[in-house]
Amino acid sequence: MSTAPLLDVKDLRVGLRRDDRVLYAVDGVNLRIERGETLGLVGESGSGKSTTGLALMKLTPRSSWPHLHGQILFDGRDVLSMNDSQLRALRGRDISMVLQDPMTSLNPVFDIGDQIAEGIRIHTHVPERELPERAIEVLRRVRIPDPVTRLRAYPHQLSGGMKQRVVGAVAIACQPRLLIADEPTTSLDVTIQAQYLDLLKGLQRESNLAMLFITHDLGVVARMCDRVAVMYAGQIVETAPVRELFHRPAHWYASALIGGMPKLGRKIDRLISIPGAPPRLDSMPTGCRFAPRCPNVQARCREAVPDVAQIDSEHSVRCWFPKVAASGATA
Amino acid sequence: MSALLRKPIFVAAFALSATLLLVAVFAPWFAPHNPMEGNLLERLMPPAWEDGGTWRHVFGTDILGRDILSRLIYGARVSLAVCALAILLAGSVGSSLGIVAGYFGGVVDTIIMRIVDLAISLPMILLALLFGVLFGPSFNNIVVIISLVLWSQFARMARGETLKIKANDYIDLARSAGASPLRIMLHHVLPNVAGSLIVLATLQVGTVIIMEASLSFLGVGVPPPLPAWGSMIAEGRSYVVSAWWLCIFPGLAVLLTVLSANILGDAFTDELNPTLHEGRR
Repeated sequence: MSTAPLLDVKDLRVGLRRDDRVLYAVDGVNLRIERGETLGLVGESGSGKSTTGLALMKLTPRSSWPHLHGQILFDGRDVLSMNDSQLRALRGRDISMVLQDPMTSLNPVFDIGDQIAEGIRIHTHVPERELPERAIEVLRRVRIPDPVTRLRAYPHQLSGGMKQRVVGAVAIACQPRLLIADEPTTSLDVTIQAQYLDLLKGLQRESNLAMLFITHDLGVVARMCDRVAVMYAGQIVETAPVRELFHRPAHWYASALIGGMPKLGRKIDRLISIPGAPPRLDSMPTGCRFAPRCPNVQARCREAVPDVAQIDSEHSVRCWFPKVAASGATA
Repeated sequence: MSALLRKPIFVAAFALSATLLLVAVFAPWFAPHNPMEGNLLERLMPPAWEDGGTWRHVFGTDILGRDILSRLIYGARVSLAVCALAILLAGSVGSSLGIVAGYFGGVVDTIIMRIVDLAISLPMILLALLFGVLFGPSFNNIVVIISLVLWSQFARMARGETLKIKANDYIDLARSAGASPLRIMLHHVLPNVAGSLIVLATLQVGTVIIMEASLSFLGVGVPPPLPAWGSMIAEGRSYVVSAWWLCIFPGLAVLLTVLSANILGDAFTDELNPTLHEGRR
């Protein structure tokens, strides 16, 4: 068991009902996260990255449950076949989450001590009188100054960055093994962002916490992640170690994303953008989903969906004609 | 709250409601006479300041010689008790159903909200008369009847507010922390919708008092000899030309109570939920 990855997602598909049709927001996603590792999940808005994150805890709307396919193995256990009480035991205990907006992530009517204690209360048998102590300990871990008085503070009394730290504290209160961070720094300003990222890194080192880091910010990816998966229109188009992706992107989309990043010290007139827009869920192209926007599109791309090809053991790409030659093996 | 205390109309309404509540709770100490016992020798006496009136019966006496003031004071007790119980019953049932409907959505929502639509479309007086005829007038029945009419409002408000709260990330995070639906509804939704529901409850006080008075007036309310403002008006109706005080005083009691309850309700609305009436400021 110890050699198996912490999280192994195989061919995950998430269908959402729209009127009478089922549209697949996530369509054949493969992911693997090792213990203590950070995997970045990058993509544009609407590419299905947040839905993927929710599906890992089976938190997508109940109406989508009949349309959840594939396999999610967390520490060898199949999440998609768990019943409600098993799911509740998994959520918050083994996997927890940090969301984008700290303003709405905390319940305004409870003080932060209560909110941190809630998870502990749900998942453990720590006696009620020891909860404040435990909460203070957790606040200390997220480097909140003066945790003893902050314990009785209400969310509106804290700044955005401070709130996001509290959200982090709530998430790690039960010592989870996997943290899903869905754009946790998007609504923070840049200096606070950097502090928050450092904090997450620190927490990860302290407790061998694995992270799925969902973002559209490649700068954050470069700083935080060990490996990156690039998502486009519900599919993962490229998976690679972070350095490899930045230096040798194989998929034309990933390459365009990285080419679009402004670099310090290089003078540019305009920011480069990828022409066109991602396809809508209800009108996916028959072939490669990126074909309509791809600079290197060929006839075959429009006809058939490319398989995932391995470039090396750690680098895979879903493209007929990758920028970097594949070793030939297909998955 | 301190801003409210600078509005004279609020202060007046607050003072009136407080007095009424005090008088109702301590009715036996305030009432000069027994409200149920009359002296036939002193029947239909006019108020003290009219010819033939006496200060022993400040607001005069009714057809059975019972003291009007004492009956008003005990009547306040009945009105307020009906009010409190009906709002409590309707509020708890309606809010629970509304929160459940809003939280789960889908089929559950559809079923509950169609029942709400049905409840709203039923004519209240007809329902009350039917109920009164079937089960006979009693204090408990009138509470149930009024609750039957009132709960739908709470359900609607609770559902709407729940939908709003549900959009907040802390609900998703609570789910991601392994909280059960019941726990989320009780710990995360309820405390956040409670403010709006309390405001709704205060706004309903006036409505309930009028309902109770109407039902008592129609004879399906609080049964005699318990004094209720509505039934006092009904009893005095046939004598209104010769003995106006039989109807006017209970009528005034209803008017002032409802007015002050509504003013308080409005003030609380503005105070607790300023976004609701932004246009007004």
